[in-house]
Amino acid sequence: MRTRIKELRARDSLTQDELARKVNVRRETIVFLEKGKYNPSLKLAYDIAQTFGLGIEEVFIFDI
Amino acid sequence: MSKSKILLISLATGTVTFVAGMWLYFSRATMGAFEYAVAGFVLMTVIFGFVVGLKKLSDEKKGFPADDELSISIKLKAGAMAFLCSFYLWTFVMIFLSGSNMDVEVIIGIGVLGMAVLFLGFWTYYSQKGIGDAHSN
Repeated sequence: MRTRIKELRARDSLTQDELARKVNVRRETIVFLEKGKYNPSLKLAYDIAQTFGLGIEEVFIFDI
Repeated sequence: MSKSKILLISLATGTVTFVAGMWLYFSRATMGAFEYAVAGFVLMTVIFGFVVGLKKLSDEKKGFPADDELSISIKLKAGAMAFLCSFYLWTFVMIFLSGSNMDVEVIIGIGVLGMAVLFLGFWTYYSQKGIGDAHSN
């Protein structure tokens, strides 16, 4: 699974710390998500997508 | 992290440090390489717990949660792997140490300390490497 979190953070001028606070997780979780080393729960994926004003499928891309 | 949780962790850390300190003090005359190794492992475990606790407190002050879904998943996976590997550890202990002239308390202590070291090892590994899907193996 790929994510567009890094790209969307840059678009919205958000740091990893700020995004982590917005979705109530630790900064390390955002780091792992951006590196593709962690697949989030549905709730976290939803919260992150909502923060960017997008749907889950626009932020998290499944390569099947 | 709630104040009661901080108090509980501080109490546990303090108790382990105090007991290990007393043990070192009273057995300092007869201490050999083995006792020093055990003391080293205990000290390493206590320092590790202390550092992790301090980091969590500092993160909380900055507005981050002490635990989130990733840190809980890492803890659970590290615990599960340490438990699985402890079967091999205890088998090793039973085969190689039960026939020795060591006291039973010492043998059990080695096993328990080994489990703690296994957990720390897996926790560090998964904290660096990540765990992929939180709900898979």
